[in-house]
Formats: sequence, structure tokens, C-alpha cells
Amino acid sequence: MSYYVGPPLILLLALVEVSVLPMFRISGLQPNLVLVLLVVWLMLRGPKEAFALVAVAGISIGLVDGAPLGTALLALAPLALLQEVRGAQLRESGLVMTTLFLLIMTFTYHLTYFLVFALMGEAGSLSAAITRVIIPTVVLNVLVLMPVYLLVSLSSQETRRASYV
Amino acid sequence: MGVGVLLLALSGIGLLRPVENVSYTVLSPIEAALRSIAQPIANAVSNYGDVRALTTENEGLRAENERLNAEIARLREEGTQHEQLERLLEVKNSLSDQDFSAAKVFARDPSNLREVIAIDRGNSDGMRVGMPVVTEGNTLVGTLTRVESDHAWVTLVTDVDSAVSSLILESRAPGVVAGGYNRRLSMEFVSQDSAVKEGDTVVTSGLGGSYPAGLVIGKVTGVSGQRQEVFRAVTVEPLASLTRLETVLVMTSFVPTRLTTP
Repeated sequence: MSYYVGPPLILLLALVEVSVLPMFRISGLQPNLVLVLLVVWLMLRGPKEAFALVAVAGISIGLVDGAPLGTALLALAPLALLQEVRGAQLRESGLVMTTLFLLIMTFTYHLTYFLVFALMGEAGSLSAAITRVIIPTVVLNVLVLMPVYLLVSLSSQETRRASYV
Repeated sequence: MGVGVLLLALSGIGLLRPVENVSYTVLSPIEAALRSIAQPIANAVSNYGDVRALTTENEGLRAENERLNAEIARLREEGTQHEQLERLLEVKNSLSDQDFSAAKVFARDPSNLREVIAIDRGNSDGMRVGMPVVTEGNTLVGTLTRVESDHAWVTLVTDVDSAVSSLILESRAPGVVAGGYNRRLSMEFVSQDSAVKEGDTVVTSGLGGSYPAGLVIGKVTGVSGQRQEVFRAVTVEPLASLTRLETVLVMTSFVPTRLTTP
């Protein structure tokens, strides 16, 4: 089911990120809805589905944002590395682990963007980016994580049950 | 009354001066005696009356002073506002020769590291990289940095990569308005001896040729900096509500100048 639901959902969220969320920014910042969903998806539904969605998400965001196409895909790629770190601990994955992964991913996601902008000569100071953008965005993403985790968790009970068998 | 007018006229031409002199010589000692007798009484009455009168007068003067001060402050404020409105009107009139193309904002870059919006006008509509973008009130929004066939990306003045040659409208102090990761504008390279105060208007200076002169950017919200520092730290609040942009105007007639080394 997720292969039919996931890609359209990711595309929809990518569009929401560029059109709706900017209207509700807090101190000029908005959460990375797609990133949050991908991390939760990876933790609750496993890497097989999540990796397919990473590609869809990377292209979707790349098509709608102002950065060069491929930046989003590059920024989301570390999810695969996290999966390696996570190893075979699917059954033990909980909210705490998901929060930790989201924290790491938010950092790497934004640092990748920063690097790309820096290469284009359009970036400012790294320390300012970390303190004024990345850390506050981590907080926003964690706040968004709770409802997203709950929703994906409810819709993934069958998958999780199967994974325990 | 006719006699009086006649005497006034004669006195005016000096014909009655001898008569006046005689009367002064005869009557002045008597007047002096009478004054010397009456003086102490008059003084006593006068002093008593003066204290009350002075107190009353003082109170009246205080109230009048207060009212006049308030009036002066109001007139000064009105004068300043009038001057500012006149200047803004000049700015508006100075842009009357420019051609604009209205565009709708349909997206905003989701990356929190940049302040970039997308508009629904592109190459096919005559959009070109470098064209300034303003609000419907002629306040600077940013500049076109990427133009596609049917849409374009506008880098806002609050973007970390944005730098606009500007000046303080009131004191003509030059500087560069730059964006930052805190979504605020700062005016840099403002010399210490420049007269800059909160509430001053910041406009584009036109230096460098990237923007036309006189576009309103924002208002000064803070001025700081130690005397020993070379430049003052000036924070600027954008006049345009950049977070809620719906429609913008692209100055299609303005072609940015690409300066070459002299």
C-alpha cells in the first residue's frame, strides 16, 4: 500500500512545504515536513519503503525549491547511512531513537544545503547558520515529529506486527 | 473730538512744544512731591497686588508654556511627517517613468537557509535576472536571481546573500543594507560621524547600478556601536511585509548596470 500512498504523499508534502508552511513560519523558520516523515517512515516501516521514498522526496523537493536540482537528494542521502547505524534494531526503534535520528538528519540535511550554497557563493557564516537556523529548526522538527510519528505509527501497525513475526 | 484731533495734529508738528515745556517746568515739582508721599503706600499696595498677580501670572505662564511646548512638539512632528511624506512622494514620482509587471508569489524556498520566493512570471514575460522587485507600495522586496521560462526566483533583501547600496534618507549617510540568517536587515559601513537615529528611512542609493535610487527599504530600528569602532551598527526593519507577500511588481524597465573596472 505504501508504494501507492507514499510517493503522492511525499509530493504533496513537498508542495505544502513551499506553499503553505511559509505562511506559518515561526521567527522566519519552518519545519522540514518531508524530512520528518522520511525519518519516521524509516524507523517505523523499514528501509525498503523508506529508501524508495527518499528518491521520490529528493526529486520532489528539488523540483519545487529554489536550490539546484539534486541538492535535496544529496541532503537526504545520509538517511541510508543512518540505516546502517541502526542495523537490525528495527524492533527496538522507538520515539527516542527516532528523535535522535531526526536530530542528526536535520543537521546533515541543512549542512548539505549550506555546503551547496557555499559552493555557489551564496552562504553566510556557518556558526550563524547553526545557531540561528539549524538548531531552531531541529526544535521545530522535533515538535512536528510527535504527531507525524503517531499518525505513521497508527497506519503501520500491520507492517510492524508482520516484522515481529 | 475735533479739538482733540486738532491739538494732536499741532503737537505733532511741534507748534505746541513751548506750552508743553512751561507746564512741565511748573508742574513737575508738585508732581514729584505728590509721588514721594504716595510712593510708600503705592509700593505696599503694589507689592501685595504684585505677589498675587505674579502668582496668578506665573501659573498662567506655566500653563501657557506647557501648551506652547506641546504645540511646538506637535508642529515639529507634523513638520517631520510632512517632510517625510514629501520625500516619499518624490520617491514615488521619481519612479513614475518605470515600467512594472505584476506577478503573483506562488512558492517560497523551504530551506530555512535562504529567503527566496517564486513568482509566476518568467522569461516569456520579459523577466530578466537582476530586475528589482518591489511591493505595490514601491518598497524594495528583492531582485530576480533565477529566471525560468514561466516563473522566476526572487532573492529577498533579507537573504543572507543580499547586499543593497543604500542611504539614510534624512541624513544622506551611505551604507550597505545586508540580510542575515536572523531574517533581519542590518545597515553596514555606516560611519561613526553619521547622523542616524531610530525611525529614519533607508532607501536605495543607486550606487553600483543594481537598483534604481530612491526605493524605500525600511526604517532604522536601532543604532549602536562604540565610539572607537569604525562603523555604527544599524538595524533596519523592512517596510514591506516580506513574510506575507502575495503580489509583487517587477521593474521591467530597469536594466542593472554591470560595472567594469575603470
